[in-house]
Amino acid sequence: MELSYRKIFSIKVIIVIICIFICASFVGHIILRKFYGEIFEKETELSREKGTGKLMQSGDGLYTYRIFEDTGEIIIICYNGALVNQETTVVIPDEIDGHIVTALDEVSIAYNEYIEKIILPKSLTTLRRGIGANCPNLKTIIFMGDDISLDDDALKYSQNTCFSGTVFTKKDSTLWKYCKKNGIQVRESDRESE
Amino acid sequence: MIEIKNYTKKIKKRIVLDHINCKFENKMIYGLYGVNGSGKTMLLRAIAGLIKPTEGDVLIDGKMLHRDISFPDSVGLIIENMEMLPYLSAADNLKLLADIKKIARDDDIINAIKRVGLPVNNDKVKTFSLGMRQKLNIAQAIFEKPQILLLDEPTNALDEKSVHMIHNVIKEEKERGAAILIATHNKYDINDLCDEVFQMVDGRLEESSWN
Repeated sequence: MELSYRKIFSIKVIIVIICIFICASFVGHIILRKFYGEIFEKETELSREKGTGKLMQSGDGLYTYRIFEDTGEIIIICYNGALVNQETTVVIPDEIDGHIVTALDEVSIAYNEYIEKIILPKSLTTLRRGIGANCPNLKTIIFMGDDISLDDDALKYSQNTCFSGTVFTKKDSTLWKYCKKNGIQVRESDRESE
Repeated sequence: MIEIKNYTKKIKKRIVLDHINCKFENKMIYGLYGVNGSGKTMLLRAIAGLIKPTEGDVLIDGKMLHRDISFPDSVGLIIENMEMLPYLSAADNLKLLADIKKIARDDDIINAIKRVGLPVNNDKVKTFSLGMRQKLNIAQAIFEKPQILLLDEPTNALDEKSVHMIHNVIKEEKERGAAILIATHNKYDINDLCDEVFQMVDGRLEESSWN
């Protein structure tokens, strides 16, 4: 009887300690947010830039992506085609798994010896660094969407090298102007693809 | 800069590195070639601080190994028989390594994996082919952007297209400012990559007239 009482008592003590710990963590979190709110905001901004949560893979295995929590849109982290199908023409879809594709992460389509042409979706609004980097056979990039936000080195791979093929896009768009500024060959095209 | 002064290593009376004197500068790729057992890997181990000299010194940016520092502050390494944890993904393996020095962020890990042509997903290393494991080893060597890269046969098990891609990655590392030493008996590695070539013969380092 005494032994049973001790067991029950020790279980209760453990439960109480766990509850105290949980409450203390919660209170501590509130206090930290109040006094160090800026740091949390900054971390949230970084997450917004890169999407949040774990890496997701598209059903066909071609794309690894993250989802922006606030909008449900997608940033493509990596195109895995070199190992999946070794396609020479990469057509990035407007949607993956029901989410709209709006951004390509840095070097997300890069280091691929098979790719010759990349067709970007009209839904794209952000192009980060190094798209097409180290793709020795890449000759054509097509984007028929509207204005897009570009990293300075989106198509510029080092101080002395940039994309050496031709970009097809709308005349006087941001991508057009970016190419002109960086000495990248650019042409106007009304067609979806060349 | 790496400076090796009169470095000798004996293992059970056998001289495996014999009075080596040389300097290796940043932004250069050095080739070490020689037959199996000539001492190429042993020299890389010496620079990495993995073995202690019988005689002589290794200085990294003026600091003496095993006296001022135990290991070089910033080194990426591929030495024979490297194994990743098979039940983790490529990224998770690198995250574990990143936790040691805490200088690489998640972005650095993912970018290194992309740069070597591996997919960024949750596939476990145990499903990787030999070539993919070698690429992961290369990613592990570069993801912390080290000042020194010591690569022992980096293109082992890689197909021709992958070799070309990895060569470009190594050249990028040179442009970033690393001092790179490659131990290899692959002539294409030497011809395409190396600014200077040394031949290892019975533990001795000799300047090569490689063309």
